[in-house]
Amino acid sequence: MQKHNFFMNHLKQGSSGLTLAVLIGVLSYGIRVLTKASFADPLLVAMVIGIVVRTTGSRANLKPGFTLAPIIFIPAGIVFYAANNLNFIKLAEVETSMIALLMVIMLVYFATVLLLGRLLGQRKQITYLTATGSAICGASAIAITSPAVEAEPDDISISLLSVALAALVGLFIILPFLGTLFDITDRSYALLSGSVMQFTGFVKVAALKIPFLRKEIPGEDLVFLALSVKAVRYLGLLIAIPLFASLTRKRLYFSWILWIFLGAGLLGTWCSVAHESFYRNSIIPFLKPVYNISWSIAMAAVGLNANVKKLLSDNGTKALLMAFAGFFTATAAFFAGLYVIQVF
Amino acid sequence: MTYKIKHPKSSLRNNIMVIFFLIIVIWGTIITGLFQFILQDILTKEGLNETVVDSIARHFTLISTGLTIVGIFFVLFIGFILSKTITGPVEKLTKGVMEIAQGRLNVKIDIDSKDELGQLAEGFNFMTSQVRDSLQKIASAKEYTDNIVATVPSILVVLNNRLEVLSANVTPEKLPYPIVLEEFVTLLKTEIKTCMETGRSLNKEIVLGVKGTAEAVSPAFSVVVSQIKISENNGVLLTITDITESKQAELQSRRYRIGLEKLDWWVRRLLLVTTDEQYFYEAVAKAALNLVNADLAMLAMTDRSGTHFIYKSAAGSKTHTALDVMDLQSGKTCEWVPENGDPMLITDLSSNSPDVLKELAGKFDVNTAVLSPICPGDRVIGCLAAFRKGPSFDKVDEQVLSLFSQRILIILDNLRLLLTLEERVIERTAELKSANKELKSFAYVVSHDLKAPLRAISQLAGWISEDYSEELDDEGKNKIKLLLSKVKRMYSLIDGILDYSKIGRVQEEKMQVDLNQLVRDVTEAIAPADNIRVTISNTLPVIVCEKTRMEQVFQNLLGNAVKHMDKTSGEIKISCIDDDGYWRFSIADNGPGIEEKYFEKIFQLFQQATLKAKPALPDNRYESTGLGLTIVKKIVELYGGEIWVESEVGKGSTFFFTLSKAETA
Repeated sequence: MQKHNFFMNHLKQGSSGLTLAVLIGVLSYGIRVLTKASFADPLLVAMVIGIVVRTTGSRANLKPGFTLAPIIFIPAGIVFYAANNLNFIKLAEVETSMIALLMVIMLVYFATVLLLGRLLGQRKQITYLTATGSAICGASAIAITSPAVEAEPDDISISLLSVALAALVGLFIILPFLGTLFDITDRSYALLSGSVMQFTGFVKVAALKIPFLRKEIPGEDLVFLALSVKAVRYLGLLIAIPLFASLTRKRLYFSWILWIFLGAGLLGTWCSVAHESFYRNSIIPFLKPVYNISWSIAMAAVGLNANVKKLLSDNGTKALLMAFAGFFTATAAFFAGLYVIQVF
Repeated sequence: MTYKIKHPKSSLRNNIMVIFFLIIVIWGTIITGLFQFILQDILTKEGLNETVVDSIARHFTLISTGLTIVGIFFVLFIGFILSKTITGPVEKLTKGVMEIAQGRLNVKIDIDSKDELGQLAEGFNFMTSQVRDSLQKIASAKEYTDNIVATVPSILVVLNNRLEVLSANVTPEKLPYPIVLEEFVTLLKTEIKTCMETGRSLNKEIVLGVKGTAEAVSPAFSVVVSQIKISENNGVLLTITDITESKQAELQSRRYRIGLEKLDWWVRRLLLVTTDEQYFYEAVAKAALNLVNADLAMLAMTDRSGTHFIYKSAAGSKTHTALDVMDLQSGKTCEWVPENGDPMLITDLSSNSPDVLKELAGKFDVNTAVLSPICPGDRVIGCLAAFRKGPSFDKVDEQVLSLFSQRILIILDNLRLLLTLEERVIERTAELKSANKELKSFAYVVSHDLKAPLRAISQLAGWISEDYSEELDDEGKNKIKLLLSKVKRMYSLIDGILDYSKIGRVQEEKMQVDLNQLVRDVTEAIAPADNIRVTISNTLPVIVCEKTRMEQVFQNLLGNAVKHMDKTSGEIKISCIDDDGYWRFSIADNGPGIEEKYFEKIFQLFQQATLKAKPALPDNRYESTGLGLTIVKKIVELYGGEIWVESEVGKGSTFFFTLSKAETA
C-alpha cells in the first residue's frame, strides 16, 4: 500500500519530467528508424539528447519524473529485450570453440575492468556497470544491471558515456586499424566485432558498413554471424546480474531483474519453438521497438538526470580508462584466441 | 580549527588529458569515418576500378586510423606535458595552500618560471611570509593577552549574542567547585538581556547551590556583566569573581561576634554564681552547649590528686541523651582530655579521633566535636567539650569555646576566692559582732557604772558646799564650784557616750515627723537668748524617722549655734531643699565662724573647734563634750545622708546635712 502511494505521488509530481523523457526517447527511436543508421543507437542518442537538454537548462520540478522514468521503463524494456534476444535455441547454434572464446573474452573484459576499478579505487557501481556495459551489450546491459546494483543516475551516465566512447573509438579507429593491419578476413572481422564491440548497433555497423572488407561473404551473413556471437554475450547477464547485485550488498542476492530477464527469455525461446511463425512475424516486430523505446525513454531520463561534467571528474577519467583498457585487452584476447583456434 | 584535506573529486590534469583525448578521438573518428564511408563512394562514382578503390580505401583506412592512434598518443603526450607544465605549479600552489590551511606556515613554493604562475608563486611566497609575520605578531599579542588574562583572578567568560560560551580563561575542570559556566548564563539571563539592550554594565551576586560540597557556605560569586563587540555583533563579557572566602569570613566573623556576645552574657551570669561550685560546673556545661549550638557538652576537671580527670557536669540538647548525660555526671573518669593543652577540632569523629571519642560518638549519636582544655599556665586542669550531630564544628566554634575556657578559669578562680572571702567575712563578722556586742555592753556598763560615783561625788560636793559654806573661804567655795562643774561635764560626757553607743543599736519606732514642729519644739527647749532669733526660711518636710534621733540632730546643731553666738543680734536660719533623692537641710548662723582646718575635725569623736574670740559669756557656756556633732554625723549617716560645714571666721557658719528620701519615706 505504501509502495503504491509512493508510486502514485511520484507519478503526480513527475508527470512533466516523465513526459519530456518519453518525448526524447521516442524521438531517439524515430531518428534511428528514419536514418536507418545502425551506429545511431537510440539508447545512446536518447541519453546524449537528455544530457544536452539538461546542460541547456532543466527545472527542478522535472526531476521527480526523471527519477520515475528508469523505474518504469527499464524493467519493461528488460522483459521485451529478453523475450527478443535471450533465445537459448539460437545460442546453441554457435560453435563451441567460439562460445569458449567468447567466455574468455568476457572473462578478460570483467577481469580487466574489475581489477582496474579496484586498483584505481573506482566507485563500485561504476565499475560493475562499466564491466557489464563493456563485456555484454553496452547501454542495454547497463540499463538492466543498474537497478540490481542500486546505481545513481551519475553512475549510469559515467559508465554509459565511457563505454560509448570506447566503442566509438573501437568502431571507427581500433578495429579498422587492426583489421587492415593484420588483413583479417571478413568472417574474422565479423567475429571480432561480435566478440568485443559493446553496442549491438555498433556490431551491425562494423560487420556491414566497413568499406575495406573484402566482401567475400554477403554483408547480411556477416551481420547475422556477428549478431549471433553477440547474442551469446547476453548470457553473461545471467551471471553478471546476481554477481554484481551480491557484491554490492555483500551477500548472495538474486535480483528480481534476473528473474524477469530469465523468465522473459525462456518465454521468448518457448514461443520461438512452439509458435515459430507467429513469434517471428508478430512478436519480434513488436518486441524490438517496444524495448528500444522503453530503454530510450529510460536513458533519456538518465541523461536528463546526469551531470556530464562528472565525466571530467576522477571517476569519469577512471571509467574511461577502465572502458578503454577492457576493450584493448578483450581485443588482444580475441586475436590470441583466434590464433589458437586457427592453429589447433 | 584545522583544515582537513579532502581528496579532490577531479583534477586539473585529468580534465586536460580527457579533454585532449576527447578532441582527438572525436576528430579522428570523424575524419576516419568520413573517409571510410564517403571516400569509397566518391572514388567509385569517379569510375575507378573496384579493386583499386578497395585498395585505396584499405590503405587510407590503415593510414588514417594509424595516424589517429599515433595522434591519440601524441596528443596524450602533449596533453601530459602541457598539463604537467600548467598543473605542476598549480598542484604545488594547491599543496602549499593546503599546508597553510593546516597551520604549516613555513611553506615556500619553488617555481622556476617568470610567467604568471611564477608571479603567482612569488606572490604566494610573499603572502605566506606576510601571513607568518602577522601570525607571529598575533601570537605574541595573544600570548601577552593570555598572560594578562591568566593572571586575572576572576573568571572571564565571553558569550556571543546567542548566549553561547565562546571562550573562558579557565577550563571547567580547573574551577574551584564542580560548576558549569552555562549555569551562570542561565542565572544571569535577565541581566545579560538588559546589558545587551542598554549597553550598561550590571553587577550581581550569585550563590550557587553546588551538590556534593561539604562546605558550610555555598560558593558565592560576584559577576559583572559587560557588553563587548565580537566582530560585528554584540557579545557579553562575564567577569566572575569568587567571593566565597570573603562571604565565609564575613559569616564566620558574624558568628564569632555573636559567640562573643553570648559568651559575655554567660560570663556575667556565671559571675553571679557565688554559692556552689557544682552549680557553677553545670552552668558552664549549659553555657558551652548554647555557645556553639552543640547537642552535648561536657566539663571534666582534675580530681583532688590532680592526676585524673573526672566528669564534673554535662548538658545535652537531645532528650535521648539526657539519661546518658546524667550518667556522666556521676563522677566517672574521663579519658579524652588533650594532655598537651591544645584545643582540638574534630570534624569527623568516626574516622579521625581517638577510640574513646569514637565510642562517645556512637553512644550519643554525634559526629563532630571540639575540645577545649582549661589550662592555668602549662598545666591542664580540665577540659570543656562540645559534640554535635550535623554540620561539623569549625574554627569559630573552637575559638569561642577556647575563649570560654579561659574565662571559666578566671571565673572559677574568682568563685573560689569569693567563697574563701565569704567564709572569712562570715568569720570576721561573727567576730566583729561579738566584739561590738562586748564593746557596747562595755560602754553601757561603763557609762552606768561611772555615773554612780559621779552622782555620789556631786552629792558630796553639794553637801560640802551647803554644810560648810561658812567654814569655806572663797577659794574653797570656788574649788567646790569647779569640782561640781567638772562633775557635770563628766556627767555630760558619759551621757553623750551613752547616746552615741545607742545610735544604731537601740532603735525606736519610726513615725511621721513634721520637722517644722520638731524644730519649733527644739528651739523652745533650747530657749535662746533674746538677742538670738531662730527662723525657718521655708517649710520643712514631713519625714518618717525616729523622732528622738531627729531631735538630737537639730538640738545639737541649733544648740551649738545658740551656744557659740557672739553677736548682739544673732540670726539662725533653718531651711531645706529637695536635692534629687535627698532632703538637704541647712542651719546658718552669723556667729564667730570656724576656721577651715576644723571643718573635718569637728565631726570626730571628742574633737571641737577652738574659738579665737570667745564672747563674754559665763565660762561654762563653752564647756562641750565634743560628742554632739559626732552624734549628728552618725545619725545623718544612719539615714543615708552626709554632713558638712561651710564657714567664714567672724561672719558665721552654715551646717548642711542631707537625708535620703528613701530612708525617710
